[in-house]
Amino acid sequence: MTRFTRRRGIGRRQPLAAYLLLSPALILYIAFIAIPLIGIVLISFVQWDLISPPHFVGLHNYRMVAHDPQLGQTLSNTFLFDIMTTSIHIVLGLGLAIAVTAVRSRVVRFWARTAIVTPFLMSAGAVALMWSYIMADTNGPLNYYLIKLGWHNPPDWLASGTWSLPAIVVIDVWATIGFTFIIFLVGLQNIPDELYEAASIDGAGAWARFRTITWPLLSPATFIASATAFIGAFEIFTWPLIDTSGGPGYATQTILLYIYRDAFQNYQFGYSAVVSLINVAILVSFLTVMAVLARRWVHYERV
Amino acid sequence: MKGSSRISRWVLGIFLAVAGLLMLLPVAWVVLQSFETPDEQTSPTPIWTPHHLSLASYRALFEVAPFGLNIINSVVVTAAVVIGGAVISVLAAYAFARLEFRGREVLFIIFLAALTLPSQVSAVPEFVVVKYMHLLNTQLSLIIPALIQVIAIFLLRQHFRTIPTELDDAARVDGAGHLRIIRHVIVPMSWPAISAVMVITGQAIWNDFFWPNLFINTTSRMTAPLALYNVENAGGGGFVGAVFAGLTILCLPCVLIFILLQRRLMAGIGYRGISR
Repeated sequence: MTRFTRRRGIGRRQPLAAYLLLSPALILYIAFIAIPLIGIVLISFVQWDLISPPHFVGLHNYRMVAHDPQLGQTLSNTFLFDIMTTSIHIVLGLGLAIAVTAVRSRVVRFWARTAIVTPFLMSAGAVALMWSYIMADTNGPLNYYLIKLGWHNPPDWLASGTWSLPAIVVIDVWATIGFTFIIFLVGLQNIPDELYEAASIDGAGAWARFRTITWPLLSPATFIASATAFIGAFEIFTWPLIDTSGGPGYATQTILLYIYRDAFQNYQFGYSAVVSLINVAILVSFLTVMAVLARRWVHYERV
Repeated sequence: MKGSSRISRWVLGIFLAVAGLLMLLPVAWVVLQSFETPDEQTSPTPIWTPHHLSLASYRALFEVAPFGLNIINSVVVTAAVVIGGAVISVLAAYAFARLEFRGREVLFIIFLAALTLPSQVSAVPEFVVVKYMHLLNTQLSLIIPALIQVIAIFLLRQHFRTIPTELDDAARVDGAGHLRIIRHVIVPMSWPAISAVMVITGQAIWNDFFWPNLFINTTSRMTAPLALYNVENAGGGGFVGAVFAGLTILCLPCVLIFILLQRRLMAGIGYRGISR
């Protein structure tokens, strides 16, 4: 007790005050984070439509996973989304951030920055509605101009078995690239100019400078951007809900949409809890792998 | 050598100008469409510039939906979450950063653990909690669960720890309690961080579609983005103009806010990124 007071100054050891200050956050945490997390485990063992009382079914919901072809397709969709969106995010986000940092004209810089970030600030609902008109087969401006450009029979993007998934990727990247862009932009601003000057004096070309300075010093930003893009792909929900209803068939059904439908359209809360837990397990294990990898290649030293 | 770098600079500038144009083209199309007559909107050849400014779409929007009310709902929910969330987060972050109590480290780690989980994974059990609190289909269902912002607590705690403790020690010697120290020392010293967190929260809540879609089903209680989806659904494609008008009303504040608060927003998003 005295140890604390002596080291950290006067009157810091006031447990009552601390708990009082923490109590609103703590109560909300318990109600809306802790209880739901425990609840989801409990719900996974019952059959429940939220109207009649739940009844215990043991591992039945877990066994259903093995006989659920929809879940397999949903997971593979989610992984496809993940690979596509994460890689596009890193390449495009970094490329745009480097270009905006390098460009001399202030007007162009302001214009590009505003244009790239604006979609990220829009409501997901608005984005989805907007693209459903733009990609529409009849009267949609996208296909009108594609035909003008010489593509005679462009697909009905959001209703095509082949094209709906890439179309959702386009919508997702358009709407969220702004975040990755800002992360890289801030990361680039933190790299001191002197490093580049020194490298230029030593005769390093543009590619060498990128490889030896930009890329390693940017690795914390790259890590955050890829982790965020990765988690983001697991949260894709609104575009398939509004633009494709997860279809055609289940071609664009994501895991979150599947959970939502099981629970709120089919009233199978127990089974949807199992799918939620699978989702958590996948995410946590991937993030663990990423964190381990990050320790190996992310440079955290400050320059 | 000099010439080539000048050319590449031009190429870069033109590339970025065009890239920006392509990003904003869909938004521009929707905004321009919203001022067209219904005939122009459904024309098979896209018409970019309305012949004469028509407000028919806006009139239609406010006729088919209580959209004014929906916007007020959005404003109320956003303001409540931004202000309430900031107060709660500042108090908690101060306790974590400045006070010593049993279980502080453990509690902090338990708080942080929530960051690794996407909040929407708990959609099912949170729905159950909200239902049993009898909050379903009320504005409170959108406000109360959003008041716990773990990431804000984390960021503010990090920030508070950079403020020299001598400042609050001095205040304490003068007889100030914790609340006074928070108000007169901590908040003024970290206002850039707090306001950045508030802007980011506000943007997220204003735009949220997921939770309103889950919790609200009465049109007059919906927030604006959900209400617009509802217009589109109810019309079965018949209310194209109304939806364009609503999209414009939803989009324009985003562009304006970004232009006005560009620095703050970038700092906010950057904060969230860097300190993860």
